[in-house]
Amino acid sequence: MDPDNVLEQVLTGAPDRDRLGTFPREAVDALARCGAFGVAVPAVHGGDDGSARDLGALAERLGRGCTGARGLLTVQEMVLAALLRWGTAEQRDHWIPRLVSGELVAGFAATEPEAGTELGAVSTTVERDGDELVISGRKVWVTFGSSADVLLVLGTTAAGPVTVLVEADRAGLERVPIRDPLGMRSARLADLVLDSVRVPVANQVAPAGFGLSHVVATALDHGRFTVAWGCVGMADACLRAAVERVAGRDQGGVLLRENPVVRAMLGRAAVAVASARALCERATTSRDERTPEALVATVTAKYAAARAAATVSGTAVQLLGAAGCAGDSVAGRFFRDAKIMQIIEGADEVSEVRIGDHLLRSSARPDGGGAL
Amino acid sequence: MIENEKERLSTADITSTVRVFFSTAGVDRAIEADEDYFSLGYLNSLLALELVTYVERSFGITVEVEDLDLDNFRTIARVVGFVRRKLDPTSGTADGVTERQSSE
Repeated sequence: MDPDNVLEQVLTGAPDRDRLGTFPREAVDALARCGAFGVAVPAVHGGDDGSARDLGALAERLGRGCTGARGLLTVQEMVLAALLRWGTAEQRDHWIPRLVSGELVAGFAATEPEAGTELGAVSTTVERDGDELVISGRKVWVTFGSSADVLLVLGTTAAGPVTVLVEADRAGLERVPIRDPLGMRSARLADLVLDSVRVPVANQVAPAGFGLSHVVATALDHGRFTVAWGCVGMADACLRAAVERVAGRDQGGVLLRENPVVRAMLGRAAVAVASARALCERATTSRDERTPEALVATVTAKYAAARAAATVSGTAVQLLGAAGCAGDSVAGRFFRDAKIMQIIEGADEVSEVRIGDHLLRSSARPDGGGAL
Repeated sequence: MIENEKERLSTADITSTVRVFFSTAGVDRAIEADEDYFSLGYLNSLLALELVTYVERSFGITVEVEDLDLDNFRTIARVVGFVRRKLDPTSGTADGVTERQSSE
């Protein structure tokens, strides 16, 4: 079957997956067959050598239909990006083709009960014992943590933060699925308990001391990018649903579309979607040109897009009324998902501080600083 | 700076380009070339990755996992020495800045 049709078929299953809190292996395989996980991976590792633009387009498409599928793309891409950037040649050769083919599903385990925004405070320990690393700690809110085959875990050592790949079948690793989360219900969310889990030293990614500042930072930067485009897809889908409703709805003889308040709501929503898209486009260009500003441009795009998804899905639910609150409502589903988008990969307030910091730094530049 | 100008970059050129990054790193005063800005807390984890992208873009080099050694990054002079070695692997040690300055 044409990859395009396969992708559409996967997205069609989104409401059921959300309702049941599942993401079947067949859907993972179907996404892999469409080449979803290798879009931005160099051909030498089995990928399609695509650009940030190609990756953004895919994230938007998945986001428009299924937050679980977009979430899977995001975690797979985060771990791929971390390995492409900071893996050794052996690590890249071993892991990347398996992640691209979908043979392995990746998870990203950084957040802890006492370390969310402040990841420098993680207390998961990584200690060397001969040829092995011994890892102990707790991780929360791991996307696809219930089904991932390998997890990139952030821990701490005497020499500073470190990242380690932990295969999910290692002894001492327990996954605790998160039941009935607010949103992202098909994303197989789980908390993890690691009790003296042993992995080979070869599973360590980058030297100790660079796990947070370089490896996790790279992964989160990539995560923000696909979350941002996914949010544009969600927001746009909600806007379309709202317009369709308003255009057709006859409210007791008075057409909904003739109500100026309703039209104003649509106007605000349309501007939110267009602004988010423009910021995502800018971040995409910046990433394809590999400018140092790409990092903050991506933070900005993710912040704006998550807010757009949250406000526009809220508007859509409001305009759809009872239909928006029904269990099978796309707008309702995205309303629940969008709130989480304002928290993961940098909560709104954290992004605001970071953007503010960037402005102040720019103003110190000899040329007085450029645009945000 | 473009690829084919690599060979012509002097230590002074590299130093001034690296300094531009630190002038925007939220630092309220000039950092001395040999000052350990990491231990002074001037480069938080958010900026560390930006520094990598900045030197890669400015000098057309790639920072590999093998280069992730604090000794390559902890002072401006060490960053300059690191860039020099990446541009010309025969150019010497981490103290290449002072050596180069005296030889040029």
